[in-house]
Amino acid sequence: MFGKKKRILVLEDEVPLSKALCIKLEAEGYETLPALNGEEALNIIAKQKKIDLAILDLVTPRIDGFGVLAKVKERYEHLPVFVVSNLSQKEDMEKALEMGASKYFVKSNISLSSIVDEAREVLSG
Amino acid sequence: MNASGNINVGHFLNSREEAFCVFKKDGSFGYFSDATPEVLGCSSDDLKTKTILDLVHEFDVAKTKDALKDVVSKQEVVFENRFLCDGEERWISWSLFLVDAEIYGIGHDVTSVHDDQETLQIAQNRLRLLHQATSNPTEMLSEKIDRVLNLGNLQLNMKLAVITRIDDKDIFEIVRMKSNGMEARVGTQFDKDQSLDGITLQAGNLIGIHNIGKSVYEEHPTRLKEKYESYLAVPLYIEGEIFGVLSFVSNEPREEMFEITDYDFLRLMGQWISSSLALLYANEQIAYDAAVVSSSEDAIIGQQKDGLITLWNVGAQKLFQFTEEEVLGKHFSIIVPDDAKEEVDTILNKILKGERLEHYSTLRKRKDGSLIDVSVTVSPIVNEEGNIVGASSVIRDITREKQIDRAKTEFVSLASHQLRTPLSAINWYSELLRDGAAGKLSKQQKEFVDEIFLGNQRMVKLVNELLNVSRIDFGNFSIEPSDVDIVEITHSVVKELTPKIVEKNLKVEEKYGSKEIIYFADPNIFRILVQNLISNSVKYTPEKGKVVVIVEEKPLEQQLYIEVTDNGYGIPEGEQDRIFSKLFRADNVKEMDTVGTGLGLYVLKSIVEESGGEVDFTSKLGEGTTFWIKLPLAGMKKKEGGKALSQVTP
Repeated sequence: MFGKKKRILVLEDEVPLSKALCIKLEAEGYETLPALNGEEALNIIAKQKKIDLAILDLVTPRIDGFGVLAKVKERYEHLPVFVVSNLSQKEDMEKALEMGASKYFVKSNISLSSIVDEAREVLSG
Repeated sequence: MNASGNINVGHFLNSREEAFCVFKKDGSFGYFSDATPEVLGCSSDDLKTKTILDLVHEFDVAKTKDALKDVVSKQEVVFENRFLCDGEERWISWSLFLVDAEIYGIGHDVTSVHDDQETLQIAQNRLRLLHQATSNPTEMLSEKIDRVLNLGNLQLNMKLAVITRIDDKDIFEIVRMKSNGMEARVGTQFDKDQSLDGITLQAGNLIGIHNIGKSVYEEHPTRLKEKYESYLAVPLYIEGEIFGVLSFVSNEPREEMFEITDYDFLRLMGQWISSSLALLYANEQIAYDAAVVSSSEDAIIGQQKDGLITLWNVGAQKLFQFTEEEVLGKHFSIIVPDDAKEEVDTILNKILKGERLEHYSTLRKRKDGSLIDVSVTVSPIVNEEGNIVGASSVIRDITREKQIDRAKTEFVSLASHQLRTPLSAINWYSELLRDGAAGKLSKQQKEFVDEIFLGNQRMVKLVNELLNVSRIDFGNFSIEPSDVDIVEITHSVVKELTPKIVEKNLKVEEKYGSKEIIYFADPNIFRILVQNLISNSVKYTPEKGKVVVIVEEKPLEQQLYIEVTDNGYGIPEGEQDRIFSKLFRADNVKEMDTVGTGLGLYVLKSIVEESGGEVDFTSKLGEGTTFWIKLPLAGMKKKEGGKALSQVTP
């Protein structure tokens, strides 16, 4: 790793899942900014000067992942966003991708290492 | 004439068939020709010792006396009287002449003429009575039938009139009856073989048995049980089909056989009753049909070929809020929402072609403009000439079914989402453990974590498959084809399976018709199809086995052909017909592989068929299996459904 660690926002309301994801990402050398609800995620985005990647769950308290996605895209048009959700319906996937998410993963179907691989690819560019 | 040329009057008179007599003033016979006793039916002794007044019917004595008197003043009298000498009534027509103060009489036997007249009179009378009984315009048909039955009893001198109906199991049932002193009940049933009506039916014609006790039917059950002693019956036909029997019965034997007039009268009654019953039952059927239609909870709507409404039942009134008066004569598009107007033409076109539209799920509009989910079945109405004259629609409100469907789907989606969250946790934490994120694991610990991980993968797969099955079963999954490269999709599936292929040291051969095949397919669905087939082959082929994947276009057959062949375990012959059933797993693989769900091939077949294709296989136990899918070359059939199927394998 050179220079500053890349920062990844992790919106995930399930604490164990958030923890697992952050452990994995940190082990790979990233800095994680966990948020347990949409509001918290938006606060982090507002305060932080720079975020390199946002990983968003969709079903989250207060403001859902779609809401956060919209705000993120409004403010940082080029910020890459991964959606990692257990919603597996086509409509949700299409909606998220249309709103600017660069990847959509069904949580139960994807391994942590795959997420990290994808993140690495996005962040190295 | 004798030899001398004189007429021998006596000889001449004796040679004639008529009765020639000379009467004395008191009516005794002064002379009678040889034929006279025969003509009058009286013995010569009677004629010699008695007067004509002693020999005639008592009703005719006065008449005869008058004639003998009148002839003196009038010279000639013609009259008729009856003789009763031999106990039989004999009608004689007399011409009396006065010759030299003596009364000459010539008599003819006219009994047969009289009988005919009498017969005619009886027949005329009965016809009149039948007409009277049946012609009252204010009377109900059923009342008229009862009148005819009563009339028959009276005229035929019988005690019970019965109309029976026979069903297709040869059981008679009394449908109407009129009793004049004998017991019987409407609704009573009896077997064909136990009934004289059965005999009538078999004869197919009128039957009269005036004295059953003296006939071959002496021991017949109806006589022994029901005390039938005389029986007169006619089969009843409605439109050429046997309906039953009209019979008249008495519990007293008749002394004399039934007369021709009785049979004629019976035949006439039978004809009238047949046609009346036809009308009565037709009316009842029409009334019944009308009641069924009007009381149906479903909306039933009749319309002409041009779409104008001709029938609007209570169900339609309830469903659409329009009253009958408001819609009769209006076009049925009145209940079709604006954005479904093109449906109207489609429906009418189908109907005009004589086709039926069944359980078509769509929306209809109420009077207040609100929309209702409905299931519509439309059938053409064909008249007797075979021409289509309109259509009848049965429309059922399926709002509730739709709500339930939606609730089910939502439940399944929610349940699958909720199930996935803990599965994700197990997935990720076992992954972290395996990667040593919590410290290096011993060999056994790693082995155990692997088991947790694999068990969890199975669970994920099961959840995904159950979600797909529920979407297939609810019919609400969608197929959204677009032009995609199916070689790329297929190859990526093979690539995904590489770890397993390598682990089992399998040889997988991919044969594509060309480098790139652009096919009009739903990529998601196409992926599920090939994933299903290839992963099955990989799973059910032993180490060092071979799997061949073929994807090619077959323009001649207008097919896109996909084939996956392996030299694996094969499917036992006895289980091959159940291979596509939900939750089915063949016995031989169940032992080797405990991971399968028994849902894959069910899902596969369902989506292939929904896509407009077919799937089948050949297999030999221990030698291998070939599955193939044939899809229309033009592409997969689009299907609106709202829900996409999930990729099963994580």
